[in-house]
Amino acid sequence: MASVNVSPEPAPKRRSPSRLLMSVGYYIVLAALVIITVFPIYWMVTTAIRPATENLTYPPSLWPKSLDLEPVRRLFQDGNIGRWIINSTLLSTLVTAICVLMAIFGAYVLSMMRWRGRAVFAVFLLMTQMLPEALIIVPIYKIYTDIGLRESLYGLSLIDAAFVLPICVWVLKNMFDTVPREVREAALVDGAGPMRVLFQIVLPITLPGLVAVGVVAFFYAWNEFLFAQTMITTESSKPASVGLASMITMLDTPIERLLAAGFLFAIPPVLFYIAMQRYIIAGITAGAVKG
Amino acid sequence: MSLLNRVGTADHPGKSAPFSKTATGAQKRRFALPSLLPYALALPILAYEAYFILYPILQQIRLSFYQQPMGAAEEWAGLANYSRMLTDPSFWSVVRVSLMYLVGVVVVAIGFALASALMLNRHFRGRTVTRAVMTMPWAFPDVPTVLVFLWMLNPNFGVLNVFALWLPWVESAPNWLMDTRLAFVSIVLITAWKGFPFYSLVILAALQTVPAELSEAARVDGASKVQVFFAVTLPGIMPTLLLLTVLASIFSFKQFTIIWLLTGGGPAGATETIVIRIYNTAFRFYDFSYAAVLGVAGFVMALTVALVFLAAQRRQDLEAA
Amino acid sequence: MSEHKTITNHRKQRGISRRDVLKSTGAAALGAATMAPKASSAFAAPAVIQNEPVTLTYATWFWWEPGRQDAWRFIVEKFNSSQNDIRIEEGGWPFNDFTRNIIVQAQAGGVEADLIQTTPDLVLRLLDANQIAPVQDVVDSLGITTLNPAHNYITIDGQVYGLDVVTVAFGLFYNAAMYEGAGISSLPASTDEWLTVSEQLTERPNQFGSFSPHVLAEPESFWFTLQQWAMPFGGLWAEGDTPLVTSEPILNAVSLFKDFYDRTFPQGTNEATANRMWANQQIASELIVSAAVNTYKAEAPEFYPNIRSMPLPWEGKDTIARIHPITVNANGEHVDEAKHFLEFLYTPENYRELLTRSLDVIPAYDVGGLDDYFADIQWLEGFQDVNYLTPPDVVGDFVHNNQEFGQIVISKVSEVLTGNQAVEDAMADAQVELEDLASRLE
Repeated sequence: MASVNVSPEPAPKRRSPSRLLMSVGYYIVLAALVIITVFPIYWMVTTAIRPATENLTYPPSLWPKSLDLEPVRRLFQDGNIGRWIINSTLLSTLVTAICVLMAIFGAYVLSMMRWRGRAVFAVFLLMTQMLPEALIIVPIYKIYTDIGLRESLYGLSLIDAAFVLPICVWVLKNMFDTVPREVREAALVDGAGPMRVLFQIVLPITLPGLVAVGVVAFFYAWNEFLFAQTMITTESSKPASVGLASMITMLDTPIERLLAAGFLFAIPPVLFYIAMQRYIIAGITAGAVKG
Repeated sequence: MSLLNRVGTADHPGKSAPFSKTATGAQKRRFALPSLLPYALALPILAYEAYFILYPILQQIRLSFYQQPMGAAEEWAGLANYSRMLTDPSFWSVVRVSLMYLVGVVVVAIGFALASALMLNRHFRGRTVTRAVMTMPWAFPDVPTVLVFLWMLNPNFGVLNVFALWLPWVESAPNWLMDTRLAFVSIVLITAWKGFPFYSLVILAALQTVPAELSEAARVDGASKVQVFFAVTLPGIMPTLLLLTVLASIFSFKQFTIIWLLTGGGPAGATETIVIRIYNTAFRFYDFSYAAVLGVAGFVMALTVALVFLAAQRRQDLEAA
Repeated sequence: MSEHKTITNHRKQRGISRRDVLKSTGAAALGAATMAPKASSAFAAPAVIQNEPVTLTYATWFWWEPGRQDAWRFIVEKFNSSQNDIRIEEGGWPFNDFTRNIIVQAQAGGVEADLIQTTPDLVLRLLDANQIAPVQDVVDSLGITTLNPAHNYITIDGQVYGLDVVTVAFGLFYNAAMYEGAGISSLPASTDEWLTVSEQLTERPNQFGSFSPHVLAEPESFWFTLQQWAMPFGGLWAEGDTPLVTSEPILNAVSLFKDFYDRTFPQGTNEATANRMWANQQIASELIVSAAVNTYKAEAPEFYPNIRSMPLPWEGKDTIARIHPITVNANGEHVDEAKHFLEFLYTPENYRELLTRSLDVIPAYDVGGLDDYFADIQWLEGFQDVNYLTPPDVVGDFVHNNQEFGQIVISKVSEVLTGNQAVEDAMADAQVELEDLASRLE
């Protein structure tokens, strides 16, 4: 890790002892921050792969003394975890698609157009973003029953997207705000219409922002639990968050298997994050300029 | 379309672009013709959100004035549900916990995010990897987060006991989630653990936009690092911090999964936020009318935060203009 | 088990797929399918359509319970193959989500399943909301006269509204190997002795004398088990619409709970971990329901033989028994077919099979022929000569709002456990809130 890079040799001449001390202190603090951040994830893996007797002992050893991959094997053998993760992937992809598509227009009208009602639209979006999901679960359930959207991942994606769309619009709006006015204006002077400006000028510049928005939507859908478990009762359509929770409910599920399942569930978004990291950071950088 | 074509450029030189405000009054005046285009583009979103969120909310508001026994017709109740809420001492305890939690999470998460962003803003070998690793919890889903922390906090086998006992003043393994104060601190810290990476990334991005010349100039003038931070860096990222404060408030206000699965609002109500109370009232006591009233209260609280944010942003806009 | 699972999973799809039709119509249809393999169900032979069975959904959490799921899949399969008109398919949710989802459905316009498994609380909710149909005719047509009186509270005007399929009663279970290992020769004869023995068996942090759920993240289990702690003192939590939580027996019960918590529990441990520790032989005794024991037979075979139950160490041997009735959706389209299934289920032969395969010990009616089965159960002792109380006996009219009543109590007990409040003060606060609840419910 980073702290390894601290040179153990005497300080270079230019550095005063106090600066060296500062530098060492810096790496120590950094290492501490990294450890705090990563330790829970490390512990999850450790617990999942070692035998139960090692876990149900105090004090626990900080690293596994022996391996037991039986819980992981049984997870695949008994459970539907593969199916759940496929469902979650489908759901999250749908939600991401809906949000990205709609957020583009929402952000555009908020960021680059002046119109009566814009402020109301902005406040409306902010407020919908703030509402706890539990507030509307009963009426939503009624609506879904009436229009036959229950038991469907497509139906579920609609309500998930409705909840995460406002924040997507908000984030993307901030990124659109960073597009220099001159760039847009030049295009308009050249006779391009507003839609052409959006798709040919604004979007290419803010592509990282779009990716960031997609990630936000993807994570939300991957996490969402309350709607999913109320709307979807068919075993074969369950997303992984619900499946995982049903494992918790089964009182006999050993902690090793539970944590193994939790870790598997976390792998796709983490991989997704790592793959997209470059764009996310670029996107956020753009957005943060406006703040 | 003549939407933007009369916008001049002369009064906005390029250098102001990053911090320019797009919603100032000065611009509004430039529009000669109203256009239907913004409405056409906003309408689908508006309709979508109205159907899936606004309409159910209105139904809930309506229900808050009724009593609805299950399977029976609803009866008009006037303000009875509201007066019950306002005179319920436990309601005020829930409001207090919600606000404390909100403030706690905002302070810890953003503080931690600021600290880590400042550290990551220096150049060192392995910076990219460190950044990726440190922001990993953002991608980590809620349920596994709860699972592992529940396990780490287990009073008998939890590994955090080992660390706690390293501290000189800790004599016996803390009973993390059975102690009112520790339980509250635990959920705040866990929420912050999950939330800070995102804020950290955003702050890091903002830090990189603070012009290096400014701080260098200040250093040359003999300002200490701390002075530079407060005089140059902090003002530069203030708009970002403000935005993050709002985001963190929203996320913590809505937080359900982590609290519900870790403490269920306990012990002794120490972690019972209004969301937990709404959930309990609706889905464990099946008192949907009262849950609707609590929901309206939550709605008002959310609205307040939103308005405070808008006001703060407007003030900042004015200052920047 | 996996065999049953595959079969039932196919049936989960909404409506009836071609595959189901083929399955249910056997070889003839199979032949037809071979000749026209691409034909959809719409083109199937007329005979097939006429024989298309009615599909009923049975919503229960049993499908998620190890041990019990196998018993039910067996019975359902037996029913499905015994006739061609009705097929039962699996529905529902795991236990923790079950009641809520049923209530949300009821609130949003009606429960969807044809057969609804209920808890002692849920059955009343559904009864109050006119969601379930009387099933007295099933009892009458089978000539059952010995239906467990625990059904009385769901019997209105001589009509019973549900049939118990698992009575869960609390027993005081202990790990015989651990008791022997500690040289405990005679079982505790009083709660004080039980406390002493449990304390003796507690070697923190790896071994504990006893456990009872006590975290608010698991409010259902907490309250459900806490009620039982009043039994040694003959305590009732409420009578009619009067809460009694400041009565002497209840104060004693909470104090006892606190003593056990302080001296013998793995504090702050949730139920899943505690179950694991129990199976891992790290907890010596627990007040648990007989239905839970089944899990261990399936999942912890090396531990199961050590399970025993002791005669309840208190006078009168009061203990709470909770019936879990299966009910028929009054608003469903297939009330008669659903009752037909209940009739099949309650036939002595089938009922006996369900009971023994589920490893249950309290029959819902005098089914007979269980002596051999009982003789094989090594943990039965504590269930003999006991006096069963039902939920309405214990919480009075609040049985209609048991969860809310319970939440108030456990919140206050939680104050006691954390040491924030003395028992008397906490319970006095609870009493005030409960009286509030009572006046609101009038």
